[in-house]
Amino acid sequence: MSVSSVLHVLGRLCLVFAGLLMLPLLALPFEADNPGLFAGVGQAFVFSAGIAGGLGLLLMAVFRKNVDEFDFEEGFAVVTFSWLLFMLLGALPYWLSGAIPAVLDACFESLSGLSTTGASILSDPAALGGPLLLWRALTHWVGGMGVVVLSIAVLPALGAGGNFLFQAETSGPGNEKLMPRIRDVAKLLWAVYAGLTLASFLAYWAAGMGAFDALCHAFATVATGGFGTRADSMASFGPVVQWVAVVFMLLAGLNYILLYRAMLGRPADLLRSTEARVFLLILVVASALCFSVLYQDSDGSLAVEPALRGAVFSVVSICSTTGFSSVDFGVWPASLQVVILALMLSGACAGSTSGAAKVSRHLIWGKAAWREVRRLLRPTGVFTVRIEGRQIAEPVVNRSVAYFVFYVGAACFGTLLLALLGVGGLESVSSIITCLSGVGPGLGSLGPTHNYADVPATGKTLLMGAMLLGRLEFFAVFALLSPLAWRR
Amino acid sequence: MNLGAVLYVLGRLCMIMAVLVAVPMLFWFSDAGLSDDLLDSFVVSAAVSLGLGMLLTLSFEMEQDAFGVGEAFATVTASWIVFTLLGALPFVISGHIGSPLDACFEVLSGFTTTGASILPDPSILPDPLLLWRAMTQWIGGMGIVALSVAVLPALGAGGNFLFQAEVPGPESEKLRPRISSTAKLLWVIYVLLTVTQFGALRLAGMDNLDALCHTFATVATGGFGTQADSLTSFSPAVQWIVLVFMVLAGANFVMLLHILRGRFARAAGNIELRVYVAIIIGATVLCATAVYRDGGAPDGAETLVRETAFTTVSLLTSTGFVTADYQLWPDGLHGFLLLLMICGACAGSTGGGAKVIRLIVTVKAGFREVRRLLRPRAIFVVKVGARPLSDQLVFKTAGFFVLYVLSTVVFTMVLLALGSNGPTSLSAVIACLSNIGPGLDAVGPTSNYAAFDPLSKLVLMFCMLLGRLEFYSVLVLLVPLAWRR
Repeated sequence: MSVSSVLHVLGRLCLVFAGLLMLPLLALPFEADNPGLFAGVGQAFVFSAGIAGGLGLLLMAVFRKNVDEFDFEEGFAVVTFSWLLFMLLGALPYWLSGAIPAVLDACFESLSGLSTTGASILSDPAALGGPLLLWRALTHWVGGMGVVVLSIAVLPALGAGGNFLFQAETSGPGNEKLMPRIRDVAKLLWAVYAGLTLASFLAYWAAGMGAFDALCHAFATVATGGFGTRADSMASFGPVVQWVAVVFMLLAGLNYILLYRAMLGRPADLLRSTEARVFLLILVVASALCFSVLYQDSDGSLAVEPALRGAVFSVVSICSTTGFSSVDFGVWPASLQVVILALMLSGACAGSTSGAAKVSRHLIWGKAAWREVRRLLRPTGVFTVRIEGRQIAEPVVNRSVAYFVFYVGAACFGTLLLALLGVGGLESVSSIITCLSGVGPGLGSLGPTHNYADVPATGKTLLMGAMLLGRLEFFAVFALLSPLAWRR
Repeated sequence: MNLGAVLYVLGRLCMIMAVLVAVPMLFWFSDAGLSDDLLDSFVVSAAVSLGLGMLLTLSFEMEQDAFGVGEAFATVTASWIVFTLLGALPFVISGHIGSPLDACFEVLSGFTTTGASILPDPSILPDPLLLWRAMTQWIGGMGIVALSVAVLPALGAGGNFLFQAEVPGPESEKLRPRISSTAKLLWVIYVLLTVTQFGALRLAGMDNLDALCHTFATVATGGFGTQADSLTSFSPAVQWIVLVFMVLAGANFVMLLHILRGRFARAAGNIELRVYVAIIIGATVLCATAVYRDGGAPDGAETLVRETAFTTVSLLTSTGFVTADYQLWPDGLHGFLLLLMICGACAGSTGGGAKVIRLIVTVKAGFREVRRLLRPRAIFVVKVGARPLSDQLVFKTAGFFVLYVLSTVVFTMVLLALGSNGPTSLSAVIACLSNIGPGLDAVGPTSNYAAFDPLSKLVLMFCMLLGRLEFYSVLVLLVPLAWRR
């Protein structure tokens, strides 16, 4: 591992981040007459940007990047440490302005934003004021952007991607080809990402949201994040806004490559994709299930449209791992809460900003397990795992199954540790799953109408670890823990 | 699929069943006070089994070359079902368990060595039925020894790959002699364990019937007791003896054989055995600490250690005896107990669950992928001890893990949809898939399975069967390939 190359790259990323930290200052003029605004919020952003910029320059000046030495290990190290570094720098504005006095809480909020989780320790985000709210939404957007590049361009190039549809199109792990490829693909995907953001901003605005709210929500929606600007998330916005959110959460959960093709005029590709079809099927079945139970339980006190909207919104929000809420699914019947948990595990399509396992992985390990059953009958037969008629390469199958092992292991041990810390059973299991999957709200006393403020400090750290592990899909982090990565 | 051959083999098994179900009749030689109606129910059950067996063996023929992998899986799965139906007869005919479904639940729970009961108080059953209830577990355990050690590995579906190298592939003509020799050796261990434990329990002051029933339930890792409160009201000495034998019954029988032959180093070098012991010790320490921090040790240190060690071992080995109401332990431990239930004991034992070795292999396979990322062209082999495992075996193990988790999720949702609450559904499904018995909440250590609706009971019965036959044998029958001629 060439530590200096890693630090050099991290330094460059710090400079980019410093630029991002200046953006919320644009919201300051509009807040001139807001008496509740934290006094030093402007300075806080300037200081934060200064620290980030200074650190970046320092790292770049001290360390040199040696192109020959930039290999897999360095790639994984940059990916993991950039997330950690951004978390610290992103927490500065919250902490310096005094809006979130505890360092750990500020880091929690920052990492939750960057990992597009959307789990908050704030009971009322509106009290933050414009610049910090914008920053909070911006962390989502930046994180989502990072994820798009990461999951579609960087990780597959490093051989760690879940996105097998794309993997076939990216060449093998040839080092010299890595950077140009990442750049080309990333540009294309950022175009989709920016297009989606603009479209959802305009749609929210047209649906009756204020411009500022529309911007923040657009950032949180396309990044499948979930930070809102109000204490009750989307509940107090009108039905039209909520339906708009449903549409864009759904779009954000689709594979960006397919969205790009759709934008180029080949929308049929979207519907031909097995993963997208299964994703839609899950949404339809889960929505129907939730709607029918909710509608029946309400005994006529709930009209059809609100019941349907509540069901569809919750299902799409959880399954796309966004985490907005329009109704309190924490008070739904127990059987539906399990459906919610299952949706949290499911995730949306590979190649999107959504977290969790993703539909394609479910398809792969389901088929891989079934293959073993068939192999028993024809022990010498050769069986391949196929999706859309395409053979899935064995390494991809292996990696998907390994992901499954890691996810289940992390969920079990995380739940156990949280429970031993005194967090309730339902809260433990749901909060670990929601953080691993990047959803946001959990169940019980960590449900959509609650927040994470009361989780003990160790528990918060644990949940932050879960967010990071889940977002980087385990492998990047675990690779760094392997002694192999540190050998010269 | 050659159904004739399958039915022929089933017929022979039915005849064995007839003999087994006749065993409790021995009570009438010693005890004149027993009712004749009960005797009749055993006679009828034996007669039905015998009749069915003769009918099947006479009507169908066994063609050696027609008995392939598909037929073997069909026989394994069907025999468990047929045994359940026949084994339930004494309960139904005598009227002691009125509903046929409940009787089947109880008997399947016995044969799969689960130990989940629908009886609030088993002590009200007459002695012959109590013995029969305990015997189902012992017979089931015996079947599992043969199944997991000889039959399944020979078919390529076993978890016990320590043996797999020694058993050849699925050539049917070589299958039978090998099954006999391996299984016989291990049955000796099984019987030896049974005899020793029976003697020890007698010495500790149990009466004959209790000692016999509990011995059957322990060595088979079943968990049916004779009292409503399981082992709680028996003396500490009895509880310690049962604890020791649960640990032994959960160990790989092949390792026990090594120990008996004085080859301690081979047993001590077995990675699965070491992890198994480490889990028992670690889990006991964790539980004891947590329980102590929660409420101290009002009954003394010995009680605390005994209760936590007993619970840990009982759940880990998938036995399911109870000496303490762990439902009252701190909430944080409940999740941990569920993990123990999933983990299971060693391969090559009568225990259920995923088995320690599978978890070791699965975790190693997971981390191999991490190392592969760093060295894409290198070849990494998953090893257990010094022994490299074939990729096929690794796949099969990981496949088991996937199937276990998927089944848990799916069946938990089904139970929830049928109206049970969260902890009850989840723990009942895990307790049945891992063949343990007690779960949490409504199926906790002081409760039973009587309150479930018929559909939920059927689902749980399917879980027991699925878990006992380690998924593959049952699922393979769902593949159209298995039914093709």
